[in-house]
Amino acid sequence: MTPRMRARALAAALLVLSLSAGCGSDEDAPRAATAEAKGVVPRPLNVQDPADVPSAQPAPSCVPRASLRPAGALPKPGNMPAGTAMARIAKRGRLVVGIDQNAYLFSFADPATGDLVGFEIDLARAIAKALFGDPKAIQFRAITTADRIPVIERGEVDMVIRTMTMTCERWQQVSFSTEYLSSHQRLLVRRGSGIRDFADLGGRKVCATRGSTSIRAIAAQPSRPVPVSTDSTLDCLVMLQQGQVDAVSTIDVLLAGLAAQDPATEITGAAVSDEPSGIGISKKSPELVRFVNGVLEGLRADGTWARSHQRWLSSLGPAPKPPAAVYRD
Amino acid sequence: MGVPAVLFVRRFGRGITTPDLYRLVAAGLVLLGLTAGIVAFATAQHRSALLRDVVAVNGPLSVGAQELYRSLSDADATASNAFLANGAEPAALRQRYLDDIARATAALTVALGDADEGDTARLAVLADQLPVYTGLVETARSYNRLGVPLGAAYLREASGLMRETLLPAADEVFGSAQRRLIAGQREAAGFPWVVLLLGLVTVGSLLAAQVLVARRSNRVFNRGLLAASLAALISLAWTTTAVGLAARQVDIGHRDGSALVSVLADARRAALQARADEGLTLVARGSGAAFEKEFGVVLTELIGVDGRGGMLAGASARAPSAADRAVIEEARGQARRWRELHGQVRKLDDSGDYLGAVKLATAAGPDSLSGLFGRLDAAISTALDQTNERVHRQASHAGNALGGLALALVLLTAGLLTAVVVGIRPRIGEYR
Repeated sequence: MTPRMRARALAAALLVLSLSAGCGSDEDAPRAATAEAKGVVPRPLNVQDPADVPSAQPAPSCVPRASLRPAGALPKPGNMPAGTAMARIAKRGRLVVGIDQNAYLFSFADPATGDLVGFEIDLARAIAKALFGDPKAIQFRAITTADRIPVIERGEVDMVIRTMTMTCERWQQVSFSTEYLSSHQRLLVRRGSGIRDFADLGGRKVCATRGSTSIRAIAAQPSRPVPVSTDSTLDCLVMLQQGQVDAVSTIDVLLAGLAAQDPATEITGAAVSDEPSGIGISKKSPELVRFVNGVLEGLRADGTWARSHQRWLSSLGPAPKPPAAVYRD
Repeated sequence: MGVPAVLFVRRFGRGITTPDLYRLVAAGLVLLGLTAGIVAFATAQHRSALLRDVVAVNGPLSVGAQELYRSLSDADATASNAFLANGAEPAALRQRYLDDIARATAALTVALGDADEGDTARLAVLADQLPVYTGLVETARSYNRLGVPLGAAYLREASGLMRETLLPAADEVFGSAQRRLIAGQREAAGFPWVVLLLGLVTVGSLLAAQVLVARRSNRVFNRGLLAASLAALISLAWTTTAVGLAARQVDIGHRDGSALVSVLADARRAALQARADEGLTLVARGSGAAFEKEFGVVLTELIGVDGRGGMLAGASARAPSAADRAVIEEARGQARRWRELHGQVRKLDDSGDYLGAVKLATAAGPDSLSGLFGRLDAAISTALDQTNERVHRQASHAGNALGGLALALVLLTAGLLTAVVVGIRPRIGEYR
């Protein structure tokens, strides 16, 4: 090889090097991503599946419906006895009530005005009217089922009106008014699902709200369904519609509110419990419990309760007689 | 290395015949010249590739990921604010939501084209779940129109999906794009020490070889070696100047560009999160204390406790030009007024006038919350656009500085090698 040739060869080698460096290629392996793609249904926030079931505390036996008797005639609005919870509320200028803002027919936002309406809102307004003479002097606070007792204990609300079942266990922590609505725990299922009762739900998912009595009742069924818990009963309906649970189980009056939003569902099954709903109030304010019971007496007697029931809950059938007040004095 | 080689030859080379010595020197110079040429060439190619990546892949991927995150987060905030308005949602909010989704989809499509394996997995989450998200939002809308609260539950589910799955995935895509961009910049910004060293050694050796040949052949200049030295000097000067210049440009692009992009993108993320928190506080109606607390924390991160600190102050301090500072200052001003107006909304809500608070929060017009936020978002977006543009421009300039270097190196190295051979061969011939 002559030097000239050698030089040429070198130059050629460099050129080849430059070309190969310029167009380096890494071959992509064929991807089979499409074969593995799968649809996943998202979950509402804070779902527990399976739900933690709170162990039943050994509750003292009591008459859960029995509340404190009203102390004579109601004081006039704007004239609350000094030193009472009512006087404190009057001084503040508004009643603070814990509610569910998504319970159709019970307490939900009227889409036209944004204002809350429903059977339980009527109750709250009647109490505000008795306190202030003004049914609008209220601040509503939306709370989850599990928060009902803590917000009362922390004094963040004056009362909770949120289909709260009166139980002896809860009487240990809070006080209740007299019963304002009777109900029974039943099932909501998809029409045509073939599910008629808890017996058909062995090993299948049944939804209720966290911290509710319903979760315990589901877990206690002999067919052993799997309890799933959410923040709100409405999230249970979302999961039922999305096929993530097979049934929703809570009190029938709330189920009626769900069924009214989705005609493809139906209420079924035998009543598995007796659930009186009462207004939750701090144990430190017995005078407020007596005052609220006085207001409820008036609503039962003058037909206001029946009118409100007729207006909101007619899907449950003709308005029954209001639940009779039971007192423990 | 050049001088010690001469000493080596002087001391131990006595036994070697001169032609063999010349052959040895020629071989050594060819090897050295070739090595220096290949290393310089490889450096130039590598730097060019890094800069091409910044300009064509990582830069656009970072910009695309910013757009993706913004669109998704804004869609979430807009959907919850539209939901607060009573009855049918305002047309402007609906349009904004639709625009956000369209932009997110477009950004996703572009990003998928350039993604590496890790990003592809993250983007697949987005591609899978974005249609599910929009489906939930439309379901929420339908139920809302029917006047039943089920719509709110679907909106909550949609928002949960957005906040817990989609936004974190989009954030990771941005993070990885930004990391790769900055790593590429850092690598491209280093000074080419090895090239400089090898170049100097080559030049030195060539000079030493000339001294050696001059002594043995009694000729002062060897034209071949002189030409080779010239070629080596030119290669050395060209490579270090071009690569050094490019490195400086990239460094400016990093300091005034990408680093500022990171700060501004954080600021925009904070602003969007605060906007969503504000809506969710009202949607939660009295149980939104956690959202309200988060709003306060995030807004403090954005503009500081007194409205003079936070990320926007940091961005303003970093901003390299008056135009950048002006838009960032505009954003700070809007954020301060937003905090004031937000305070009024909270005061209404906390005093029990929920409907009044919602009305104030959902009002339209230039001085409304949505007007203020719109201007804040637009100002940060403008600052980001300018900065992204700077990153792109500096990388392009840097790429231009390297233009022609590779070809020149090939030619100069070939010239150098030829000149060495041409210069020494006749001297070997003299001894036949």
